[in-house]
Amino acid sequence: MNAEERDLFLNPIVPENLIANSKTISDLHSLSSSLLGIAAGILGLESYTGFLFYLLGTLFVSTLIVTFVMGGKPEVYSRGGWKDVIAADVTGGVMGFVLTWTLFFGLVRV
Amino acid sequence: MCPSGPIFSGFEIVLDYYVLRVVQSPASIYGQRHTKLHNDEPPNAYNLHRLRFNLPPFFLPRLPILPPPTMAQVVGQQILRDPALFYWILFPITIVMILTGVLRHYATLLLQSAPKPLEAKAIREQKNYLHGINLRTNANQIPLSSFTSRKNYLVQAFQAGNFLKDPDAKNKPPANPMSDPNGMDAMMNMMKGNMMMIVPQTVIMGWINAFFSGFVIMKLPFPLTIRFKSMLQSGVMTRDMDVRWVSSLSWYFLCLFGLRPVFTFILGNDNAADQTMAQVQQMNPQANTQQLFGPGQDPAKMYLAEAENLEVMVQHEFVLDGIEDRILARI
Repeated sequence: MNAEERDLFLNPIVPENLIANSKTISDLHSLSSSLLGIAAGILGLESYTGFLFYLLGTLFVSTLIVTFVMGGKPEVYSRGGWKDVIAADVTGGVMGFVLTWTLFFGLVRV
Repeated sequence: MCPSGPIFSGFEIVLDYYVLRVVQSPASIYGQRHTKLHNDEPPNAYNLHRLRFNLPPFFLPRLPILPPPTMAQVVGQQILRDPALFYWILFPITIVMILTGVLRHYATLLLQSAPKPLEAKAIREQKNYLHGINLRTNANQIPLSSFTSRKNYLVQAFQAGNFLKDPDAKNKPPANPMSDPNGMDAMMNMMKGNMMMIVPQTVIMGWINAFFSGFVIMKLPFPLTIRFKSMLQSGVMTRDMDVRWVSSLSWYFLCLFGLRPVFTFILGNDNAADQTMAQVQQMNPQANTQQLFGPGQDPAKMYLAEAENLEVMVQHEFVLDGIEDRILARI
């Protein structure tokens, strides 16, 4: 039994809570990525600027989650701490972002 | 070229009746966006339909002024599209995709047949097997003496085959999964799930191909390589068009992959509207016990393997060992 296993064994984690937490985080991320896509489309951002906007927006939302939703103590709510908050559901978030980005870019700009 | 005009003309709402008019516009590279597209044409009714208003220049970012293009550079393309393309292609596809997801969700709920109640001996077989697994995973939660006595009992019973539903079937070959009614049931469930995914996708793709192929409906906000041209511009036979202009099928694909946030907010987190949810269901522990004793498995062999696993487990570390020191260290 190595040190990490031992630590997990002595301080067990309830998997249901972990799953519920990560679902909440990915919900927040998917909503915010759709909204970021709307914003990027209306602003008319293109190519790298848009993805950079998504990156900064996601980081900002993650900061908000860590600060307000988790009360500044992310390691209480997820195993990886703030890294889990940032990395939650990246592919789904990018897809939602691209969808609304394209839609609103087409509606407003082109 | 008219150098006296504003560098960036802001919004332009172009209302015209011409769909898909490809205009090669060197002006757009200079930063003038379709202000001077039709300079050489005589004024006609077409120009009268162009309604434009300019926002004040501080409102929008200025485009950088690029050097004039050489012949090798690709000239920026401007396509004037009918707004009706949005109302009759883009919005229908989006709405149909969302409604299909909702329909798939509820159809999946309806088609899910509740697992059949098992007979008492089959339940005993499953639960005792799980007992062995649970003892193995949670061995450290109980003292060594308790663990040893439980282990001895289970290993003995497993090896003797006490819990088997059908002890005589030990040496027979496993039954054909096709003839087993339980196996048929599981396979039907799997089939239903797959059909719920495949059928709507095929139907919608056929629908889009039949009605909407050949239209360029939107411009992607990011550039793509030329390889995507045949996929994204299927049905549009224009060789020189920029890959960023895409047809309706691409919008379908974007919807297919990007609508999950929408479903999450319509149907909740555990919806069955998306393909990715199917993978999550496989991690469901309840489904796992069903799969453990799925068709084609020989319970007798599984019991023997589990008895062996229990026997070879030598390492045991009770969780309460040294608890005093840990508590005192924490205070």
